[in-house]
Amino acid sequence: MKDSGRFRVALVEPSAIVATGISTVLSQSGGYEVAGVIPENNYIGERLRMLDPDIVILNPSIVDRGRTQSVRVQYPFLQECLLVGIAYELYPETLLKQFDAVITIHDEPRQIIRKLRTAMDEKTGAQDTAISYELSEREKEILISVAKGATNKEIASRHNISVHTVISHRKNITRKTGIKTVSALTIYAVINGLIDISDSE
Amino acid sequence: MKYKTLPSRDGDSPNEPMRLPFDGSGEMKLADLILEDHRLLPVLERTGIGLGFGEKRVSEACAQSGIPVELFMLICSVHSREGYVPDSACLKSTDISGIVEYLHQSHEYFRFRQIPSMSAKLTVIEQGCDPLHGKMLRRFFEGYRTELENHFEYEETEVFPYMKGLLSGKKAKGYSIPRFEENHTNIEEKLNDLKNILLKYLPADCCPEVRSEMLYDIFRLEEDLKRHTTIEDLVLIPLVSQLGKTVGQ
Repeated sequence: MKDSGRFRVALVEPSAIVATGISTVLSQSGGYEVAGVIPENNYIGERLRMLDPDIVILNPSIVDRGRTQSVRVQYPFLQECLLVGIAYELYPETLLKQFDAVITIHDEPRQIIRKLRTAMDEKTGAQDTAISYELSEREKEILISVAKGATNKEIASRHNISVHTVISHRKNITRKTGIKTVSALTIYAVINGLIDISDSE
Repeated sequence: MKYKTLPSRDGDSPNEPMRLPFDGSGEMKLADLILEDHRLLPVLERTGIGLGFGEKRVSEACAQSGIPVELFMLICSVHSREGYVPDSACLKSTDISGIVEYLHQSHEYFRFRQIPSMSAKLTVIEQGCDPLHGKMLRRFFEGYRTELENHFEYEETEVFPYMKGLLSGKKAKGYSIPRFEENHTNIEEKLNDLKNILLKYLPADCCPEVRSEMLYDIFRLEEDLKRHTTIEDLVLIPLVSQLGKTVGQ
């Protein structure tokens, strides 16, 4: 998502009619901006790199040409993008598997938008989980209070948050560390240098 | 005893009978049974069968040590398969004393063998790591040990005598099975926390070899305690409530 607040879309589609149709559907929905259409298999990589899209909607027939390599392997810089396939007809499962979503030319406009939104949510959700293995700064603060023996209520008032939020932080701390009991959380805090032993005794 | 819902079955569809690596007849060689699944090894000790049994059949070894072969095979099934739901229908109420004896022997094993062995490993870790970390771990471990022993003690002095009493036709006053089912503990949580600290958070250079061995002990103890609970909840309790109804009438 760039400054415009809309997702930048690159469209790799040989048919002008289909490309125009998809562009119209996307621009009418408001959340998307078609940054460019690439109609043929020339310098796709370079052109995509220039467009710097959030979403690449791509007709697999344009790049496939008997290649078995997936699009992301051919163009590794697309790793961060949402990759959406356009299907005119039934494609083999193995070909479609590389896409985060597949739209067909028979989809209703709102179906297309829904598929993009769902796939986008899933992709950002997946990234959230991937980075959240480590305790956040906030969770460390809460953990320090827990280790010092504070009750949920005390922690809530000290950090100016609701008891409900404290409980949710504590759940996340336990989910990430695997540690449930307060005495073990204290050991965790000492080993990781979050508290001095004199604080806990 | 920790009372939970039925353990989940691992992988098998709920409608299919669970497959065991052995048949339940007791006609196979005892050695084959153990060689098929080495996790059954502690069952031998706790049932008084012991080692050095030569080429005896399961049924012969059971007869010699005085444990009913159906009970022995049931205990083996519980130990052999995660989530195995034992069917206590094949047992008689007279098997209660055998089960109680088995559970008692398990307690002895945990208290006098398993926990001391872990404690000895922890001593090595204490000596080889940051003294502060060592001290805190020791305190945590002793807390766990105390809780575990109190729990066993409660069963040994309250629960088991009640069950034996039932067998001889007595019904203790003011005490019923539902009451000890409320006796929850957080023993499992403590062991789980200890596992995570040893595995993930002690610095890498802190006694890695002994730590690995202690972790292996913890994994084994966790499994063993789970099986122990299964035998209490799904074998002993159903038999006792059955008998309790008869005696109560």
